[in-house]
Amino acid sequence: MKQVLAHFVLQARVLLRLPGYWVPAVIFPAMLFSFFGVSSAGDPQRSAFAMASFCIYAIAGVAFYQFGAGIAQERETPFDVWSRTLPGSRLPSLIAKIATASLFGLAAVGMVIAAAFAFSSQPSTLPNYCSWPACAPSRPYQPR
Amino acid sequence: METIINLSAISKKFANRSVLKGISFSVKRGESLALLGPNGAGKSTLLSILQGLRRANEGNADVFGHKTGSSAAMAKVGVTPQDADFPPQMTPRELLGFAGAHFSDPEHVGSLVTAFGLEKLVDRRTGGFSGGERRRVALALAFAGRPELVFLDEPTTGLDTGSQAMFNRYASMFIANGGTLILTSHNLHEVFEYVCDRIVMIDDGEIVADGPISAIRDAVGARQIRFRLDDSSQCPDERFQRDNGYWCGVISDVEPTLRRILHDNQSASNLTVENLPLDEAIALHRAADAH
Repeated sequence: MKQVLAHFVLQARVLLRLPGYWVPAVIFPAMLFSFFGVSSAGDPQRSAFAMASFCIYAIAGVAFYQFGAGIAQERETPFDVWSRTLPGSRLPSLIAKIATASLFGLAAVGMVIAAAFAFSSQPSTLPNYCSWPACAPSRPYQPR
Repeated sequence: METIINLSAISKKFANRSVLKGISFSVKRGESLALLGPNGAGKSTLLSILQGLRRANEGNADVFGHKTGSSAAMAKVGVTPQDADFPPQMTPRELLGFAGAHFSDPEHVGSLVTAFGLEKLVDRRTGGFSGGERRRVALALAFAGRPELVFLDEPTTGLDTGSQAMFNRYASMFIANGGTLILTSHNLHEVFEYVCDRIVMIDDGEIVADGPISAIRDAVGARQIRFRLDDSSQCPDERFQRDNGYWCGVISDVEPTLRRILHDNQSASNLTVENLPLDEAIALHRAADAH
């Protein structure tokens, strides 16, 4: 547990101090949603679908960086090679990576939901947005 | 004394090139050993096998009686990377805390900071550090877990003389407290300044010399002496030869020879004493062995 926490703190610190990572990963989905997704706020089903789409984009962005490009880049660094000489398996590092990805993914999703709430002209739209995941399987989106 | 590292007929190939050819030696607790060899001799590959980062194609290697790289072995081992390249967003305090979290009884961060002269750097991000500052952080990281055995890959690369002395002091203390030290270097004369008591010399993947530092120093610690004499003067020592107006010789007993030259030849001038390059020292050693 101590090792998982150490890896989590290290990875979270590195990412938080790297605006090049968290600006596109956490802020861009909400920003793009406020440009293109808010226009559908009048229609509950469309607005819920738009928000859910941007939430998936937010999570996919974080996951792609953390588990795709991130791992590939890290494996080449001298620091990663050195950290493989520390006692313990690679599992704490992997668990910490999943935890940091979840943290940044939740932050990105939270920003999209906050944008949905903030930019909506109708106060009742947030429940509409949030109702989408529950009704989605039975009510597939039909573009007008 | 207890043997803590055992290497038996270790061979390693990259593609079709043999980098290590049947290396065997053992290390006892409390020894301080320098793996010495020119660039590409195979010393870093050997070190990475001992650290569990690479696997040997043939042979056996164990550390503290465990397979190299296993958690049981690495729990007692500290490592300094050859490239001191850390995440630039992290501070030395955070890195030392991270390394210490992997060990049951880590060293106090404050004492490492003092020992390696990191007081002014400890809360600054490593991104702006010079090569020497990074190297000091890397050295401190090796000792973060209070290890019993430390591997240092070219530990003093980029360090100024003050930092080298600081490292030597800490390493001496570590050995005096029963620690075992293994370091690599490609600089023969630098190794003589370290705290090592044994040298294993590797060339082209093979051990060419293994013995106490004093024996190796006598065998290959020769220096090149050059000086000028008046044209009429005859050099009294047959080990010197004429070269472009200078007298040149590769000499092991430097001090008595210099004293004799200066005593016998009042006109000696432009005197220089230079370290012998490692490849020449190895060639000299091989020639002596052949005789």
